Amino acid sequence: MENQNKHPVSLWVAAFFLTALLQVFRGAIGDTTIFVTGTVILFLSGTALRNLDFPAARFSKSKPLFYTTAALMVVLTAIPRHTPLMMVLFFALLPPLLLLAWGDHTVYKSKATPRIRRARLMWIVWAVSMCLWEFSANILGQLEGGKYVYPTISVLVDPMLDGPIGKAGFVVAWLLIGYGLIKVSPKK
Amino acid sequence: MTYWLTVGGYLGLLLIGVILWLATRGGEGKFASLSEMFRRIMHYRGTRLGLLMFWWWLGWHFLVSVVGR
Repeated sequence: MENQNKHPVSLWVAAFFLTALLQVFRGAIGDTTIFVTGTVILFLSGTALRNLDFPAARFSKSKPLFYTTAALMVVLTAIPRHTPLMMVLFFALLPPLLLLAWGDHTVYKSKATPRIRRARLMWIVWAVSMCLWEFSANILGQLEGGKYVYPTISVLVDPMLDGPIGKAGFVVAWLLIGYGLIKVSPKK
Repeated sequence: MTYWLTVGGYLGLLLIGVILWLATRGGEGKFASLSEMFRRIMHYRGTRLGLLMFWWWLGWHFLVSVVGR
């Protein structure tokens, strides 16, 4: 039982657009480009390209996805950070990832249960609180001109990734989250 | 002072997140678990694209970019 989403432009468009503005404030050209591109993709996915579907489920079967994730764990742990090779790998990852996320534009007709709605609201409040704290630290830190006066999450986490154990831990955790997000996507 | 206040905020929010995750795990309570909720919200293309693009950027940010702030 399916129908089309009643809200073609999701709140993610606003979230990505606001983050793009923050990246402009940070003066981060690369991150600005990424979030502006993301905003455009999200906007098009709910409007002009709304009815364009991709059979994502056919490509997100358990075994190939598992082996790809495992291979990426080894490769990403082995390649040094901030290198052209790492950049090439990330660019190569993006098209298949977007296609897997794109999938089908239809949604289930049944309304979310009250349990789901309550949980969704609770986690949105939590995520927005975390974002506001991080954004505030970023803005105040830039105004004060010191990296460690109001540290961002990046400033705190980045030094931990300089060592091989920290980097491997990050790669494993990051890939497992991505694997989990693809696995819980609808299988149609 | 501001350093520890800021770090305390992150740790406090992280702790709240862990408590909420543990409290709603595998339950029949008033709140769906995190996995139940994700299974539902990932039906929406906008959510799938938003979450996976943000996830990709997170990897990019720490493994490709040089973090300034």
